[in-house]
Amino acid sequence: MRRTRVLLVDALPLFRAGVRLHLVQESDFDVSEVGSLRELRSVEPPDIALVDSSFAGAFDLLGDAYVIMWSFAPEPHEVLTAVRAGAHGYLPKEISASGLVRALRALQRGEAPLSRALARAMIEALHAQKADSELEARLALLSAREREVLELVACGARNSSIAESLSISEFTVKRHVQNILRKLGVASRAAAGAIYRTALDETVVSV
Amino acid sequence: MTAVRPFVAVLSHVPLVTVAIVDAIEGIAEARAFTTKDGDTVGLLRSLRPDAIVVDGYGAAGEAAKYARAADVPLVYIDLQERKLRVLEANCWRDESGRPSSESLRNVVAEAIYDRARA
Repeated sequence: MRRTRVLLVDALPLFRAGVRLHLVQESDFDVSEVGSLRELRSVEPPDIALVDSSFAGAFDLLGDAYVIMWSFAPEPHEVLTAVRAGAHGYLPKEISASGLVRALRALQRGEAPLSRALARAMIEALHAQKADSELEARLALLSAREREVLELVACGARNSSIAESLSISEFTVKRHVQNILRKLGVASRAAAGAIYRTALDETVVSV
Repeated sequence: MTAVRPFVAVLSHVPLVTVAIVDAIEGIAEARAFTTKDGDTVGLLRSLRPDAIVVDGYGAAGEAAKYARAADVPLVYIDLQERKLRVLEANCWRDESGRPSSESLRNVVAEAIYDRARA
């Protein structure tokens, strides 16, 4: 039986040693390791590469290998970025030895190694991105002047002070506010202000 | 007569690293690994009374430092995120140069154990 060639790409020698010590106990894996992209350039692409998340540039050097990225206590956005970059799976480095072996074998069966917790976190991150893009689309409907008005509305300014700040009539401010509510699909100034503040938090609105 | 080997308590929360730590130290001391999740680290160390401690978690390092200071026991912290070996010295962490490897860990632990034995 041909052994599966597993390559460890990690800058931490002690971690590589631990993974190697576990995997060499399995008869179906042939393990090698590199600690830098320079070293990676000089090795044959493996069947499976276990790549630390700090080695984003490794994808181009790994040919057709299955790439599993991993990191300590991964954040959802890290997982999403890695999968978008081409990773076939993502694992927490805190995984047990038996969990790692199961994940590697599952990959060979065509499954994507991703813990339940990370899968859920990734879905949440995707939903958050969808919400951000919807918010962005609604805000994009606003004219430059309406954005200025909305910024002041979000600060709690009354129509009279907005009119004074922007050197326009109060009647024009009212018209702008009506347009803002209609375009954002909300019924109140408070709701429009909340949308603006959310957008600021998510940096959808450029300030 | 057989000399008693120094005993090193390894407090690890990363199973893949635990085996590498124990493997690195075994040649110079008796190393035993304990998980540190939600545990009473100080209580555990009080009952073990090790000659040296190796930890790989930030929280456990802080807890173990309390015991290490009180009992004057060497403490080595493998900072996996920062990729540093840190040794507790006079209430401060001293960073070893280079990235943590089996060899550097073994050297640091050996130095700590034998410095203590000489003192």
